[in-house]
Amino acid sequence: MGMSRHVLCLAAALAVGLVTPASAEKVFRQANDLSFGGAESLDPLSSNRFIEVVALIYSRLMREGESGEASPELATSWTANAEATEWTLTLQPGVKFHDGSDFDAADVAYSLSRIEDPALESPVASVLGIIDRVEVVDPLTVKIILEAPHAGLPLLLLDYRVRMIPDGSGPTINENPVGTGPFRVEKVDAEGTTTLVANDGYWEGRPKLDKIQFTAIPDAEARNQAMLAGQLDYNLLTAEQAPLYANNPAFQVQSFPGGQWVGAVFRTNAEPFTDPRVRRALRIAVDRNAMLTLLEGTDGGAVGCDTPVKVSDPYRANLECPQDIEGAKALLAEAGYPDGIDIELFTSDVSPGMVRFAEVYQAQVAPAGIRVKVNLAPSDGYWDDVWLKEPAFVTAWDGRPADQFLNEIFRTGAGNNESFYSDPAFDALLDKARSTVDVEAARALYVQAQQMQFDDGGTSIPFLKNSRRVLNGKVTGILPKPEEFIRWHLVDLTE
Amino acid sequence: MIGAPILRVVLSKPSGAIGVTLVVGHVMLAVLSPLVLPHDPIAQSADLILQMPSLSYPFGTDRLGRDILSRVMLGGRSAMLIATLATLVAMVWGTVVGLLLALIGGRIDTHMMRIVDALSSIPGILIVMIFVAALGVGAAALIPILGYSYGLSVVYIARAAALDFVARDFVLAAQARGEARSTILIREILPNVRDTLAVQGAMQWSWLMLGITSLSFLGLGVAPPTPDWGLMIADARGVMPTAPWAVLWPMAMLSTLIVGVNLAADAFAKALGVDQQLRTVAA
Amino acid sequence: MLGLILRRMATGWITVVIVAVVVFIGVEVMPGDACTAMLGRDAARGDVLENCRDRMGLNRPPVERFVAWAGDLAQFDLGVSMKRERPIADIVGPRLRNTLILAAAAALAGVPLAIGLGVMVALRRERPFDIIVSTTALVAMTMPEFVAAALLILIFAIWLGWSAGVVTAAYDAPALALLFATPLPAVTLALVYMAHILRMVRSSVIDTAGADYILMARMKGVPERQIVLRHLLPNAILPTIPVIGLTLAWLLSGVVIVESAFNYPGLGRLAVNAVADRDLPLVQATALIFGLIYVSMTLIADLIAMALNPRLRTRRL
Repeated sequence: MGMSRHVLCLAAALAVGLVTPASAEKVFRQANDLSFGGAESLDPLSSNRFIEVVALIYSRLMREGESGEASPELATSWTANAEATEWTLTLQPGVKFHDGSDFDAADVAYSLSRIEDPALESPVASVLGIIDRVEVVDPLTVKIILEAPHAGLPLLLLDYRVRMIPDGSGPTINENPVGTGPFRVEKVDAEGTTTLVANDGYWEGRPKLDKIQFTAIPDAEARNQAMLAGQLDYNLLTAEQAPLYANNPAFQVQSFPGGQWVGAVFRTNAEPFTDPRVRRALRIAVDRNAMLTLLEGTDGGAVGCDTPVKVSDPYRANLECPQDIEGAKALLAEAGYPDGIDIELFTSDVSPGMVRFAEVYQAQVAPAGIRVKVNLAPSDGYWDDVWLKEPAFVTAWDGRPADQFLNEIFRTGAGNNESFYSDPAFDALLDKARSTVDVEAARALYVQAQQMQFDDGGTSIPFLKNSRRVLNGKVTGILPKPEEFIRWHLVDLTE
Repeated sequence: MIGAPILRVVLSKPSGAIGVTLVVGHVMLAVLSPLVLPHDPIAQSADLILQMPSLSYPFGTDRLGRDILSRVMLGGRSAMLIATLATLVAMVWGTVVGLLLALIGGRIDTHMMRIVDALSSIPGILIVMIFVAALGVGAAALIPILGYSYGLSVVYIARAAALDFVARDFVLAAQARGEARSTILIREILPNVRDTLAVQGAMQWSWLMLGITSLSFLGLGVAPPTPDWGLMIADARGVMPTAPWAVLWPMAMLSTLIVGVNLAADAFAKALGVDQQLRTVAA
Repeated sequence: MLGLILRRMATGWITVVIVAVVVFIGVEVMPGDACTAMLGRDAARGDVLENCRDRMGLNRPPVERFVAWAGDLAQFDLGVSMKRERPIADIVGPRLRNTLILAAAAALAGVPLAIGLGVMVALRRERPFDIIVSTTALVAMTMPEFVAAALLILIFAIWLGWSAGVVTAAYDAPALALLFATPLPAVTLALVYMAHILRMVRSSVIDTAGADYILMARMKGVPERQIVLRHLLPNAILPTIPVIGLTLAWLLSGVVIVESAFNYPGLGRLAVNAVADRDLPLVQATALIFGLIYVSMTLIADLIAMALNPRLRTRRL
């Protein structure tokens, strides 16, 4: 082994020489996960958008405020008519694009109307398809006219893909990415290294960092290793990776409520889950607190009663649902399964924790006479062949606003309605909530909808995860809050 | 099949003795462990997550607070079963094809061997990914996949071992008597390559154990809650810096089993006098 | 001799063609296609999916697509990646170079070391040194590559800090930068190579030591040193050289996991991503290249074997 060790030392010495930057430039190193395998696009509306970069070079009309409400970014204020069908937005003056041109109402009208361009096939169309047209009132005022009332339009405009680009630039935006964000593109190579440089003319002040550099590292374990070895300044963490960085001054670990969850879906149109009593039994037999601790550790998230709505969301229903083994047994007996029930639950390694979720679920519901056979499917092809197809499967979601989530996964006929839940009364409730401008009244309706899901839905959502990230010890300006809250022009590297 | 004198020769060498001891130990553990488990191997506990080895949990606990000792005791059983069945599949088809090709010879042999070359040249992991995506996972799908891919090397070994005999007098004599190919294969050639193939089969089996472990890494192996070394390693590799024991024990079990089988198989090959035959065709 | 080589090369091409067919069928029977993989679970349905399939020509019958692909290939055109929408030659080229650099570095460091160790343990066979080293080699072989990779990163990059953990250099970085960015992928690969070769060399030396001419030389009173250097080693090691070549070819598939674990921008990582993306032309191209490398390595190994052992030259291959 003497020889390889020698080689190692030599190589290490050379490596140090190669990576030390010549000047004292502040370069912030991140990894991109190459989720689109090299087809990453800089068009924010593309289904292959280069997520990490898009957020840094383009700005939104609104951003998340302290408690998740819409607060000003490029739009300084907004008002709606009484029916919530027409919204008037006032824009921030003096904002310039990276190419020096002025940002104005025409750019907003263009960026929003582009969402519905059929040639683009943008996934955002399903969220903001309700926009009928956008009118330019004057250079700093636009009017958005909706097809149907929607009191929550500002929340929908928070969507991370709804970003402002120059009027008419759509066809060339991927090659010539011009935005109003704090950083501009120097070099893009999704499969190699991508470099962004500070936008000196950023309207909120010049960024403190000089550059942000992304390296493609598709394997999550390899990203973690790179972070541990000091090759990155920022990385997302899973619960079990967090202890690796604990008590180490070279790193800062942050944990904060996110919207991600892993759950079990029992398709309401597949036997034996067509019976609401069976579905309810399968959900109330879970010990949510124990599951949260087992899967995410202490301080790992927030338990809930099968609602996907974030804890920080004003429309979340806060119900109580302790583990109820006896209740589950009684429901099963009532439904014709006095000796318990056998079910097959599909899962896979596609998203962190999905396999262990099934393992814990299996153990927890066993006392209620629910015998779960866990079926491990290949991660490759899981969303094509198992999800929506098998009668029961494990699913995973990222957070989104209450209205969007409830409509996306529970409304009759919605494309992502994975439990095939269908109830006209539930759909009517959502419609009514949308047209209700009064926040408290709307809240009551959304809570009622979530209560309906807990009573007879097919989706078990025991808890919402906390998100975790690790930062190099030198990083300042990143608060323990989700990504969309980060003000990148304030982020700095200090000695 | 193996007489006492052979066993004595095997045990007389340190490596042979170590190998046989390891194999016997593993077999006894796999058979007897359900009777002597210290804890319930699938009982989860939120209070016991990743505990260091202690008196009540001598090997520590895993990420769901389960007893690692109980789990490693049981963790080889399902993989061993899959490996055994897959080895049988591999040996049977590999031997039949290999021997037939050796006997037939000529163009057919040459062309068929190019096909075998071709199939061997595709990285195994890609083949498995493709197969598994098409057939799904679980033991029922794994056995044919593994049997197929490990059988390729059996073809080489069986063919080469048989080639040593096809030109010998007794085979030529049988051909002259007009005996059917199948008869010649079974009566004349198979007995002569039997030892070689038995030793090869044992080694094959041990590498299949490793293969199954790697599949668990890809999430394609044994389904929970069955304890499985591969799943245990895959599950704990992320916590290696903070909880090395969670990876170490299943790893050690797998290593000792494979090392034992290989040392024993080497010693038997030597004692049976088939070691050179194996080597000239291995790789 | 020349005729033999040519014939061998011709059958090598047949091998490559078979690889192409097998891989094509394999990817065809896999569930999902490039469009479902690319659009993801949110968008892969309805018109969007159909438009994508039309655009990529996935609605044409498989046989038609295979023939078109093979036709292009015959004109040395690897085609265009479905997902990346770039010529495959441009994508594969630099990564092939990187994989070859990695494999060559591992082989150059590992093979001589493995041969040396193999000889040393063989000369001390069944003694503690032999048992320890041979068993360590076996243990190294039983360690899945992903565990070995994680272990090396933990020890050398995280605990000792001697080296970077994973490769962050881009695929088109200069060759030396890639190699020196971190030696760990090469070391991991070399460890696996070494274990196999060490065991082979050890057996060969032990066999040769028992040969009649060695015993004869010893009886004649030839000094032990001279027996080992003049007679034993040349006769024991030369025959292993072609087998080493084959071992290297066989183990090349190990780069798939090593590259993923270290984020090394090579062909193995590309192949895995291509399968996950259902990027059929790219899967085909990478599988073909692996096949070609394997075929050429076996050919070279055969030629070396023939050069070393004249009797083989007359044997039908």
